[in-house]
Amino acid sequence: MRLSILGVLLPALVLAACATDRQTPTEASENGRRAPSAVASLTAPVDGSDAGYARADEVVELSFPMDHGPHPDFQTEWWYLTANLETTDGRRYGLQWTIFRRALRPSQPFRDSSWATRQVYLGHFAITDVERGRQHSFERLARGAVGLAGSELEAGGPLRVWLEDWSLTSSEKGTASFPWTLRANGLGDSGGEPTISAEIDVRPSKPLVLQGDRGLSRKNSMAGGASYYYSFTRLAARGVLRIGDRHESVTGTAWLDREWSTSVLAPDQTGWDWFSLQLDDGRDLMVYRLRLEGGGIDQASSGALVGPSGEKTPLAVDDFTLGVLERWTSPKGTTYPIAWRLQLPKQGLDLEIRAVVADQELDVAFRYWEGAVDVTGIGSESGRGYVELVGYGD
Amino acid sequence: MTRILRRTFLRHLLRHPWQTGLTGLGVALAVSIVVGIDLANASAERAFDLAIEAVAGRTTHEVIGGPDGLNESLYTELRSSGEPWARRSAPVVEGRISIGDARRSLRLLGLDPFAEPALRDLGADVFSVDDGALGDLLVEPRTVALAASLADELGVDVGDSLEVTTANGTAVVRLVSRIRPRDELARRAARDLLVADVATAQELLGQVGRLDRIDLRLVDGEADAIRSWLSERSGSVEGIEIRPVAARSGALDQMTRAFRLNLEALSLLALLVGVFLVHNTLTFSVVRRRPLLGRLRALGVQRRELLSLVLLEGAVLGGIATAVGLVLGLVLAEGLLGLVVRTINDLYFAVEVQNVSIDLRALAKGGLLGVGGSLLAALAPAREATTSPPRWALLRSQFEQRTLRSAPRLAAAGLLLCLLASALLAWPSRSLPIAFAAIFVFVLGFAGLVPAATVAASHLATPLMGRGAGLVGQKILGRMAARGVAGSLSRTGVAMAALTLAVATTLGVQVMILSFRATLVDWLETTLQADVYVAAQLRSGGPAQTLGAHWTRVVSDLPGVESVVSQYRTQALVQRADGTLDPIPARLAATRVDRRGFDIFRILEGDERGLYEQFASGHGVLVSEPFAYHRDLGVGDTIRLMADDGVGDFPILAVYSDYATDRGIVTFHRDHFEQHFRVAGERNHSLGLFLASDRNIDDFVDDLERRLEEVHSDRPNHEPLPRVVANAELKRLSLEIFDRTFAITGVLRLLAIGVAFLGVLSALMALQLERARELGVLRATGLTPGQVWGLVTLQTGVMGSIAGLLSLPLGAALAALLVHVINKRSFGWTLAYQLPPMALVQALGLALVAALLAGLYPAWKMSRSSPALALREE
Repeated sequence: MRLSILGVLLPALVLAACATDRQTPTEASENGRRAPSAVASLTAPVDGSDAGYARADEVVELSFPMDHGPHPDFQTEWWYLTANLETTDGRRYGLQWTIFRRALRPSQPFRDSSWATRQVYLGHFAITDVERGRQHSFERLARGAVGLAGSELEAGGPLRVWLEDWSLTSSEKGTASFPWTLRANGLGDSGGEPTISAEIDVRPSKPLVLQGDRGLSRKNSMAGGASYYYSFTRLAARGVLRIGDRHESVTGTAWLDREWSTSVLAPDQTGWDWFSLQLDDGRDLMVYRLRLEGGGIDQASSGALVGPSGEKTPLAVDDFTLGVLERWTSPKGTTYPIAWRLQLPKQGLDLEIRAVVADQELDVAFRYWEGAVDVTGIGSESGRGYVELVGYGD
Repeated sequence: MTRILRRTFLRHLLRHPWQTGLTGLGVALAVSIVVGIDLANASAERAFDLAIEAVAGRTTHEVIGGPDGLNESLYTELRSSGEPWARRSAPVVEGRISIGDARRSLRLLGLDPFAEPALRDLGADVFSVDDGALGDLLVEPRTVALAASLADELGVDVGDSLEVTTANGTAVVRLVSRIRPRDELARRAARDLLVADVATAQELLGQVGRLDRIDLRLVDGEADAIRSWLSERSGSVEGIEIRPVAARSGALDQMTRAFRLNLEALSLLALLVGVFLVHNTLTFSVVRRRPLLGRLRALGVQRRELLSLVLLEGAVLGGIATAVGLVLGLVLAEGLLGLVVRTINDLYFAVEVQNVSIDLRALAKGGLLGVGGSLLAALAPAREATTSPPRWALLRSQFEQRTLRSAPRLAAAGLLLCLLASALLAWPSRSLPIAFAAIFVFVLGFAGLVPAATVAASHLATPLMGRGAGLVGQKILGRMAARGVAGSLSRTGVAMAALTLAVATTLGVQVMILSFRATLVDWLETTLQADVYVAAQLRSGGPAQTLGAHWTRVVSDLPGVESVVSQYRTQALVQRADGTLDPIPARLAATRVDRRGFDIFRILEGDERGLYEQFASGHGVLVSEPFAYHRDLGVGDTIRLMADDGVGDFPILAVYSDYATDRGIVTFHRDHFEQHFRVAGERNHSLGLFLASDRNIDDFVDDLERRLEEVHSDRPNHEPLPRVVANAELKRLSLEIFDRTFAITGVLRLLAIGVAFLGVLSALMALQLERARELGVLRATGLTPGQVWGLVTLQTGVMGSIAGLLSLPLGAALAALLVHVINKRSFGWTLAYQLPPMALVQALGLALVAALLAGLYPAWKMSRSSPALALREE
C-alpha cells in the first residue's frame, strides 16, 4: 500500500518542496522557510476534486508486463523499491528508492509548449548506513515533460521511469524484462554529508503477487477508496553503492511495490504502519495497519503472507496483532514506534521487529519514517525488512 | 559688536524682500532643476538595478545563447548531468508584455516552479500557492500570477482576465494567483512582473522550444566546470556562453549615460544662471551699502569682519534658497521622472519606475552646489566691500569709474577663457565631460565680455536712442536711458551677463533641437522611401511585434507592388577584443532588400560601388554611424557577435547614416542573417512596399487593408491585424517620437528661462528701485511722472535689447557646440547645423520682453513716488 496518503498529498509536497528548498541537504535554504501547512491536514483531500480520473473501483485483470508501465489516467502512481544490502565483509545498508507520479488535472488541454504537462514526479532516495547508524535522504521534484521526468513502456521496449538522472530502467531486450536497474544519487555538503550514489540491478526470485482481491486493494469503506496494487516481494539485488569516498559492492534482497489509484483516504484515517518483511525461511510478509482518529484501527487494514514459491495467503485485519515495544523521538520532535511485536496466530508466527537504526526519519519536505528493520522470531523465522510509518508528526 | 553687525547685514536682506525673494526663488529653482534631474535619473537607474537584483535572487551566473536563446533540451541535459551545479539551475523565459492600452509595460517571467526554490525566493513565493492554482499555472494555458499590489492597481482579482500584448500578439490571460512576496526587494521587483510557468511564457511570447537563459547558483570554480561541460556536449553547434549576472546590471547605466549627462549639464547651466543671480544680488547689496561700509570701516571694523559678513549674507541667502530648492527638486523630480522614463523607454530599455527614490547623494550634490555656488558668487562682492579704502567707499562715482575701467580687464580674462575652451575642444578626445567643461568655460568667458560689450553698446545706442526719442520730443530722455546703462555698470553688468547667458542657453538648446529635427527630417526622406509600410504595430514602446511569413506573401502578391523591403530586428551580444561580453547587446536588423530599396541606406563611409552585391551575397554587414563611432570601428574592421550558431566575426562593409537609435545598428542581409541566426517562422517587424509609378497610393492602401482583413479573418489566431501606414504618416509618427523624446529637454529649457526671468526681474527691479533718489532729483527738476515712467521703461528696454543681441552669438555658438561636439560625443550622430532666423528673433524678443516686464513695477513705483520722499536719505 505504501504511502498512498503521500500520493494523495503530492500537490502539497510540491508546495512544500517549493517552499522549503530542500532538494538535497546541500541546497538547504539559508533562511527559514514557511512550514508546509497543507501537509498538516493528512486526511483532507487537498486537491479540490478527483472527478474525471480513472478509478480503482473494480477488479480488473492486470496485464503484465504492460502494467509495469505508467497509468497516467489515474491520479497517483508509484514505483517503490526497498532493499536490505550487504557487502562481502558484512557491512549492512538499507536502501529506499521511490518515484511518485501525480496528475494535477484529469486531462490536458492542447498546448504548443512541450513544457506543459499535468504530470508531476517526486522522487525519494535514502540510504541507511547501519554501521555508522545514519540515514541519508534526498528528494527531487520535476514536471513530467521535456525529458526532465517521466515513465514509459511500450510493447517490445524497455520500462523507463526517471526523474532527471534518477531512474529505474529494464533491460534493453524485450518488454520490461529483467534485470531492472535502479540509479540514484544525492549531493553531499560542506557540513559532512557525503555524496551518495547507487546503481543496483534487481531480478525477481519469486513471481509477482497481486495484493488485495486480484490486485484491487481496499483502503477504506468509501466508494473508490482502493488502489491497484502488486508487489515483487523478493528480488535479488546486486550493485554498487558510493558513500563519500567508499565504493561498496553490495548484494541483498529487494522488495518492489507498484500501486496506482485515484483514492482519497477516509476523513478519519490519520496514518498507517506498513511492514514488508522477508523471512529467512523464504516466506515474505506484508501487513499494513491503518490508524484512525482516537487510536482505533481501520477494518480495511490487511496484509498477505507469500510462501517460498509465491503462493499467497491473504490476511484480514483480524488475522494479525501488532504491539509497540519501543518508541523513539526524532530530532524534529516526532515520536515514532521503532520496535514491535507482530503476531499471526493462525500461522503461528510471533515476530519481534526492530529498526536497525532508530533515526530513519526522512529529511524531506513531508517527513515520515521509512527504515530497514531486523526480524527475530523462533528459529528460522528471523529475517529483514522495511517499515514505513506515516502520520505521526506535524 | 559682531552680533549687531551680523544682524544689521542680514536685516538688509529683509529690507528688500522683493529683490531677495526673487533672487532666492531663482536660485531655488536652479537648485531644484539640478536635484530634480538627478533624482529622476537615479530613480530610473535604481528601479532598473533593483528589478535585475530581485529577479536574480541568489543567481550568480547565467547560461545564454544567441538572440534566439537556448534550445530547451540544454536544460534537460544539464539537469540530468549528475553534476553538482545541475541542482542549482533554473530555466527562464522572459519578455516584454504590456497590459491593456500599452500604458503599463511589464515583464513576463516564465519560470519552472520545481527549480525555483534553489535560486529565487520570488519564484518560490509565486508557486507557493494552493494546489488548485498550481495546477492551473502548470496545466492550463494563458494563466499568470501577479503581485497583489499590481493586481490591485490593475483592478483585477483571481479568476479575472487581462488582455496582454507581447511580441507574439495579443492574448487574454487569466489571473490565477496573487503573489505576496515576503521581502521588500522581491516586492518591488514583483510590481512590474507577470509570472507564469515556462510553458505559458513560451507560448505567449512565441518562443516554443526556446529558453532565454538558464540561471545558476555557482560556487567557486564551477563556472569553468560548466564551460567545459558545455564544450564537451556532443552535437552542439549553438553559441552558448556563461557569464556572471552582475555583468547585466550596469547595462542601463552605460546605455543611458550620455543621455543623462546631457540632462545634467543642462541643469547645471541653469544653476550657473542662478549663481550669477546671487552674485548680482550681493554685488548690488554691497554697492548700495557702500556708504554704510565706508562708515563701518571708518569706525574701525576690520576688513576680515566685513568679508565674513558679506560671505555670511551670501551663505544665508544661498542656504535658504537651496533648502527651498531641495524641496522643490523633490516635487519637480516627480514630474521629470515620467519624462525621463518615457525617453529611456522609447530609446533604450523598458523600465517601469513608480516613484522617485530619495537619493541622498543627489540631495547632497544639489545642496553643495547651491550653497557653494552662492558663496563663490559672494566672494567678489565681499572682497569689493573690504578692499576699498574707507574714504573711497563713500564715493559712488569713484566706484562706478573703477567698474568701468575694470571692464576691459574683465573682457581680457573672458577672452582668455574662451581661448581655453577652444583649446579644450580642439583636444583630440571623445570625452563628454571634457566637452561639457569646455562649454562651461566658454560660457563663463563670454560672460566676462558682457560688461565691456554693454559699455560699447550703450555708447553706440546713446545717439540712436536720442534720435529715436527725439521723434517724440524726448531726446534727452532717450540719451539718458542709454547712457545710464553704462553709467551704472556696477549694477547692470552682472544682471546683463545673467540675462545674456540665460537667453543664450535657451537659444542654444532650441537651435540644437531644431538642427536635430531638420537632420532627422532629411534622413527620413532618404530612409523612408517606400510608398507604404506594413507592420505589426506602429507605436514604439511595449513589446516589439512581428509579422508572420504569410503576410509577406500576401503583401507581395498584391497588384502594383514592385518591390518589398523587409526588416526583422533583434539583438545580440558583442564580444570585446579581450573575449568578455559587452553588457549592452548590439541591435541587429535583417533586411531583405533589392537594388532599388538599397538606396534607403545613406552611406557615410565605404565604397558604394559593388556594395549592394557584397551586402546581398553575405560578405559583411552595414553598421550605423553611432555603432561605428562608439566602438571606434570603420570599414574593414570586424564585429564579433554571439550568433545562434556560435560566435562569429562579421566584416563591416560600410557605415551608414541612422538616427533611429544611438546604440547603433548592425544591418545584415536577410539571407546572410539566416545563415547565423534563427528566425522563427520567417518573421518580420516591418515591410516597406515600393509601388509601380502608376499606382495611386490611396487606392492601394484601401486594397491592401481590405486584403489584410480578409486574410486575418480567415486565420482566427491571436496574431493581430497588421497595420498599414503610408509614407507620410510614418514620417509624422517618427517625428512625433522625436518630439516626445525631446520633451524633457524642452521642459528644462523652459525652466532655465524661468530662472533667467526671475534673475532679470530681480536685478532690474533692484536697479531701478535703487535709483529712486536719482529719479527723485529728476522729478524735482521737473520730470513728469509719465517721463519717469518712460525713462525707466526705456532703460530696461535698452538693457534687454543689448543682452538679447549679445545672447545671439553666444547662443549660436552654444548650439554649434551642442550639435557638433556634444551630440557627436554623446550619441555618435552627425547633425546638420541650422540657424533659423526665427529662433534669433525669438531670443531677442524674449530678452526684451523679460526686461520690459521687469521694468514695469519699478517704473510704476517711481512715477508715483513723491520726489521729496525719494530725496530723503535713508
